[in-house]
Amino acid sequence: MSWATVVAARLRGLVEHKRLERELDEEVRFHVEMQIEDNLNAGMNPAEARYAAMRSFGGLEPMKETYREQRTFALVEAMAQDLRYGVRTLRKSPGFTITAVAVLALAIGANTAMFSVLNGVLFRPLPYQSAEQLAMLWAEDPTQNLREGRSALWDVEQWRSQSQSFADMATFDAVSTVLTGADGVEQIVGASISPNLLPLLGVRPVLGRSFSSEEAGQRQRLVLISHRFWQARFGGSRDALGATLVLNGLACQIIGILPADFPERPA
Amino acid sequence: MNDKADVLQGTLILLVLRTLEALGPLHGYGIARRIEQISKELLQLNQGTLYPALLRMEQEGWIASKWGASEKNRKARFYSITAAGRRQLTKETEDWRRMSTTIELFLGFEPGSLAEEGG
Repeated sequence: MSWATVVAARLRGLVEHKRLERELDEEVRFHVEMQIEDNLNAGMNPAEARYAAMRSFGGLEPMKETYREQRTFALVEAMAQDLRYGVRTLRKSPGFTITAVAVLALAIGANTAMFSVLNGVLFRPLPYQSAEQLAMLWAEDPTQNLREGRSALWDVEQWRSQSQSFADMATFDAVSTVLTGADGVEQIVGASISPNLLPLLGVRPVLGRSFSSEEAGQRQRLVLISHRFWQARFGGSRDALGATLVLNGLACQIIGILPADFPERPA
Repeated sequence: MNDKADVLQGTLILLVLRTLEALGPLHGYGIARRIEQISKELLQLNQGTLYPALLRMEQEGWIASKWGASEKNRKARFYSITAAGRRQLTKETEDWRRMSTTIELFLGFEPGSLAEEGG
């Protein structure tokens, strides 16, 4: 109960700052004047009486400081004072203020930009189903300083049949591909993928279909194209399905269109 | 605040409460004079330290204050002890007696003139 009344009194102190300060001054003045009068009555001369009164009272400012600290929450009041002082100082030197604000603005801007990038690259979940369960498997050989190396398909098949930690394993191998078209030859980015990759990621073609394992086994040359490629080359027409692309000099048949939100670089 | 003033602050509350209980409402100067009169040679009271102590006691609810007219008809703030203040006085008096008894026992002193000053 005691601390509650003290807190209440100090909250009041916060609001009634001016009045309490004036009252303290009045009280102190009364005290000192009374002391001076008594000293005069005791036979001192006025200067002596005043000096003795001040001395017996002790340091006035330290006392007021203690009094103020006790009157309210010293921290809050000190913070308010610091704030007022800060605003006054800044107003007095606009050049400095502008520089400081500009520096702050730049720093905040840079941080925001950095965060936006990180958010996109690191923090935002991948646009696949069960993204939190996805893992990328790499071959590593520390003795040869090999990291994030490619793996032979045969190895992957072994891992896939023997592993018990993963629901499924699929492969993709991003390769630069030469496309021969009516306008000439150009280089595009492609990837050869295993037939289970799209089902594993929960990705369904917006048009057409994906590969089957049988087709993969028969090594048929089938491709899915990105949504953007579809729009650019075929104007979004259904005729794209079944059309032929010449990739690395070999005719490949388009069997499906990937969704627009499928990243063009899957990793 | 130095060590001496700290020690004083604890006893100062006891002295103020006792003074107000004995003499009724008093202004700050009156309290200071009274304490000095009674303990003239023993206590060096820095009168200014009285006011933070009074504030604290008022916040605790041990004393109440009211503005009124002094004996010479000047505006002054009068302090008086409250019921909670009387309880606090009893408690602090006991604490003080127990403490001084303990220390006297410890030092092997006979309770002498020092013991009278508290009561």
